[in-house]
Amino acid sequence: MLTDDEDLAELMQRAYRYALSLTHEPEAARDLVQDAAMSVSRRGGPWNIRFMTTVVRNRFIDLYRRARKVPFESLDDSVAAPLEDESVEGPVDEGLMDLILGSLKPSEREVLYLSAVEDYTTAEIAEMTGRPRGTVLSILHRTKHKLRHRLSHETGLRN
Amino acid sequence: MKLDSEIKRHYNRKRLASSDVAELVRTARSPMGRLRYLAPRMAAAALLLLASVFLITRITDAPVAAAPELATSIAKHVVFQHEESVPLAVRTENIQELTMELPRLNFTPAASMVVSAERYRLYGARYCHIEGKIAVHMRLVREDGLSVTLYQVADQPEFDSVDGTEIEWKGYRVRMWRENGVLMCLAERISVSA
Repeated sequence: MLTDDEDLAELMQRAYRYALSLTHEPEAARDLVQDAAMSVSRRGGPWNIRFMTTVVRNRFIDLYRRARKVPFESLDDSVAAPLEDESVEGPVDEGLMDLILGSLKPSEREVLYLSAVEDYTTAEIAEMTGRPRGTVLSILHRTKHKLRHRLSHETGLRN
Repeated sequence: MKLDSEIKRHYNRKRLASSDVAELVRTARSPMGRLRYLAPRMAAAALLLLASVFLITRITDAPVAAAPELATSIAKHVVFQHEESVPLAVRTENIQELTMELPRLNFTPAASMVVSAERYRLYGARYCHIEGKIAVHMRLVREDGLSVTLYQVADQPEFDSVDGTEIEWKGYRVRMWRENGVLMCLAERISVSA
């Protein structure tokens, strides 16, 4: 059963932002969402963010495999550690944030996005991405550390 | 500022253009969205049909010369097993049941976007092997009633040369591709009515 047009439009925007977290390229992200929408349409739904996320993710992985790239590396669970204080000296410049996010790996941006923007728990992200929870925590911890470090470094250079 | 808030703020600014969103909503709403997706594939299928008609007149027992050795070996194995009609261990139309019914598998049998539920119906499955690795042999029934074999095996780096290949042998076309973490091998008899 389809929801109304406004809900669908918002769903597409959320799927696009998720796709953007994977690709970091607006055109590629739009194409991913287009493919996903067609795929879900062919199946007759369901039109919800969890399913769209799965379809976008599968499509992304397929494309990367064809291109012989490896977007999702495995990590040792044992490096999981509690998240540190997450404050940054803000507000952060939009261009700088974009630049630094672009330097991250797709797997790092994805976990960061699902956690910070979609507010999924690490257990939910683990289920969605097929990774152990410890691995998700590791990626999240490492990525936030990297992001904070680069933000402060670049901000220092610019000031 | 919280890092999470900054990330959220950053991504929430990213939006598709309203014209793109309208197009996507139309795709979701309209059967035309499906047609737009299917049209090029239908054209490709028509071309494939023409090519099949052409090729069927010259099918030999030799595989396509340019096919990689591993792909050829797998394709021959799948065709051989298809023709053997070995009894199935599980009789089900639900692919998810295979995980429970075939617990020795080291992967989860997956539905494929290529083998659409609209055209193919699962009939049953059994354990089998591909290149010494445990695999699942599924028997499907195509919409025209023909029996089709779909093999799935956990993906391996060595399948790089197999991904995306298509081999014809003994009157069968075997397509092999990676999807959902498995290598899929679909064997279908080439026929004029296919």
